Amino acid sequence: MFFVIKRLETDLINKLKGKGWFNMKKLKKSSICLLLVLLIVGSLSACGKKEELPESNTSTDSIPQGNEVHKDVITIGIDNEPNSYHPYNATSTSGDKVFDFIYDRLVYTSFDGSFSPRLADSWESSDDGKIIKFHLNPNVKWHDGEPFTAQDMVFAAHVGTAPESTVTRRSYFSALDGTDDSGVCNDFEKLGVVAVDDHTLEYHFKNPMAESTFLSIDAQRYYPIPYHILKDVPMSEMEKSEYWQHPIGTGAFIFDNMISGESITVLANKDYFLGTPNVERVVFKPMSTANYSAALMSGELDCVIDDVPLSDLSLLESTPGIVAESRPSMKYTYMTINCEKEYFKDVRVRKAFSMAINRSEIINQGLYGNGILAVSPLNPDNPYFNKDIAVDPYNPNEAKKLLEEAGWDFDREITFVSYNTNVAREAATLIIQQNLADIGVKVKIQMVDWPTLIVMAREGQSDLSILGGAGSLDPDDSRVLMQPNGAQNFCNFTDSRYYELAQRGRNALTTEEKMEIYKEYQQLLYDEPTYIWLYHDNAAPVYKDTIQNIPADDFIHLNFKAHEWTFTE
Amino acid sequence: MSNYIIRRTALAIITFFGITMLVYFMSTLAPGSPLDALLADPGMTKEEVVRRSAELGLDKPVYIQYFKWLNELLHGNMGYSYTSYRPVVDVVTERIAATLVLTVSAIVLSYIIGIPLGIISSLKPYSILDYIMSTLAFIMSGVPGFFLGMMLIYIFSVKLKILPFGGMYDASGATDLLVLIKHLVLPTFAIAIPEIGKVMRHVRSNMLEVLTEDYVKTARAKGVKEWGVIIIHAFRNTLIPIITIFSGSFPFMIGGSVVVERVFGWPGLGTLMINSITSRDYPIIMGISVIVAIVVLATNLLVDILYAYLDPRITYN
Repeated sequence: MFFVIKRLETDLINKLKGKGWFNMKKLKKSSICLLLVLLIVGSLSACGKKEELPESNTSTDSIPQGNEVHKDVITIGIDNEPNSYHPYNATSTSGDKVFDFIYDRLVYTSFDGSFSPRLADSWESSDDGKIIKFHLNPNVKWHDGEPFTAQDMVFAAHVGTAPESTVTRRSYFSALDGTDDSGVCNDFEKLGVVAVDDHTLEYHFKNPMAESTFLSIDAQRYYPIPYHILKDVPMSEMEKSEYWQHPIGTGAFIFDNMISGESITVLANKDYFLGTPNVERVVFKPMSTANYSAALMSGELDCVIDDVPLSDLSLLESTPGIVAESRPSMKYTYMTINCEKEYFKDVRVRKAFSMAINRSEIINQGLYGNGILAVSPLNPDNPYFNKDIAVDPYNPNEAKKLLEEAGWDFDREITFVSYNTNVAREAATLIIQQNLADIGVKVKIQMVDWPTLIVMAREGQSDLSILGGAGSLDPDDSRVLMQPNGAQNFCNFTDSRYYELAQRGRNALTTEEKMEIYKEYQQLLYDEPTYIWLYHDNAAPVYKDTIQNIPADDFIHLNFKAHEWTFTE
Repeated sequence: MSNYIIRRTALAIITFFGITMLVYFMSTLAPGSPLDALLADPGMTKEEVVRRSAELGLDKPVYIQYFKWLNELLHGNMGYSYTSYRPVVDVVTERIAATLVLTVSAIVLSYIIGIPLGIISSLKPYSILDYIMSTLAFIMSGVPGFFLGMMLIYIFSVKLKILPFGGMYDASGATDLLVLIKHLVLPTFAIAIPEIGKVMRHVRSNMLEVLTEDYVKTARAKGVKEWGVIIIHAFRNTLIPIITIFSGSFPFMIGGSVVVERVFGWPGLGTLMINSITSRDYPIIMGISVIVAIVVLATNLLVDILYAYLDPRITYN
């Protein structure tokens, strides 16, 4: 939106300049006169308050001098406040962004796929891949001063798997011994998580699992829960406990307060085992992503750890004092094809649709060039990417020929369900509609909200829909999309070959074995598409240049390392 | 008088239950369900969905769900949020103050500015000043709140950097009145500007009508000063139509604040409502509807009573 307003302003100024009417001083003066009332009220309210402004409201034009300072407060924009501070009840990654400041996890992932210790000092897997043992850092303490122990991780697993609890992240435990396919455990004695001693923790799996798969996927959602505080709370009452209004963690920041819809404030943990953070307070401000740019430019935000709208990126890049850079991510966006429908059962039809889509145009128009073409859920930079396959070239003639061969009824009108809160996907929907029209396929677009889209895709009420995934370095991330009758099989196909390959990949222990399996998996996805992979959109975190040592590339793994950020005036 | 109040209150109660029924059925019959939040769990199985559905009572017919909810409401229990697991009454009440502050400020501002401008415009009808003001009023009442909001943010926050726009308070942690007023300015104007236009137009047309009445001519003939004629004799008689606009605009402004709250990150019921609808959090949707319905119905009731107070010709019968 601000990109549009800025462009309007520039066009207007250029036109006025062309006619010799433009005089910046006069223009500003008239604007101010016209909006006098607003100015008076604003100025009055600002009177005498300047000295109370937080440091975060200083000019964005300031140039870092290289002198590090201890910052009083920074503000971070997030797209939504966490629905709950119960880490196993988060319904979106907005929660994880705040959790990462309050809680710690066992191990952290970097952009290059390497793992770094946090709650765990070290780890090792058994030869058969069915047990992973963590040696926990003995210096970690809860914010109330109590020592963190393996029992806290065991208790967290109990909370996550208890049949009486209503957590939203149960399936992350479904690989553990003693759980069913949903991740429910009816007997904690049999649950595959064991506190060997205070600082040694073991996870036991039903099936062999590569260490890297567990660390980069399942363990990324394993947050500790303080056993010493919550041990007496019945599992059925856990979510409703008052404790979650003021939780404690082991992280670099201590939860201070939350004003619903307004802000979440966390304070530096001066006893943090990895060192005291360089900022006293961090204030998270939930706001519409469309407002990120304005808030950064006006100085109301210091940092956006989500992605700013890609349409605003060039504007921010040219704004002094702001670091804005489009960075590769593992995210992927795909179009679903409802394989339940008879007319989509022929693979030639699905292949024709893939060939008819001009992905480059989507990237240029919808992502403003900030993305790459997708041929599978894996980004070409992923070590498991199959280099033998390439994106179907945009070829409408060949696509139409394939459709004719498959006996496509060109009088048929199909429904494409999309939603309008994601600018790039909205643009992609329109381009795809036009691309398919070019080969004679009639497409009716239906714009709905996200929950409606999910239901329509899952229940087979749409022909096509557009969705996306966060991705991971481990290819196991897309497995859930392939499960016949699975809740996330949005193409509703019953062919089990895709899922079996993904499952084999999950259970493979060596990199070579995984490479071979995932190569075959991607080849199948390419030869006999169910999902049409469209693009990998770039990540776009933005922050002021007064913040340094900020691992922006690692943000895609929810790895913010805020205790290491440094600040200059 | 008391009979009238009782009758109007009874009607308001019936309307209230009608509203709750309508909102409940509309929200639950829309596609999607609170269980979609479970999709945050990538490996969720269909068995888990069925289990949760039964747990929340979502497997029952909608009318049973509604009466169960109503029964709880009549016992003073608005339930728990499906997403945050917090009591609905807590979640809603901590947001309502922000919405009321914003809406009431916008109403006060729109009437303080709109009424004098409408009167001025009516004093010299069809003059250049009148044309300018009428055109301005027309433009103001037609500008969408979200667009106006974005423009205000761009001018006053981004370019001039004199007013903040994100939320009610800044990151300093100060929650005093001045900080609040500073944050209140832009969203208040975003809601009030379209309303100012409407008020100006209504006041102008009513004043034009009243100024031709015999009692105004009589007042002038008796030598009453012009300001007295306008304020005491003419304007007083335009109050009824103005109150009528007010009673209609109050619920509209609460509704309009939903969009403006989203644009300005104002922590009121609007942003909560949008999030609740997106996550199909029925208890919160119903909680907000109940509170807003009570506020609006109570306002309308007060306005009805005020009519008769201001114009003795209106009887309670």
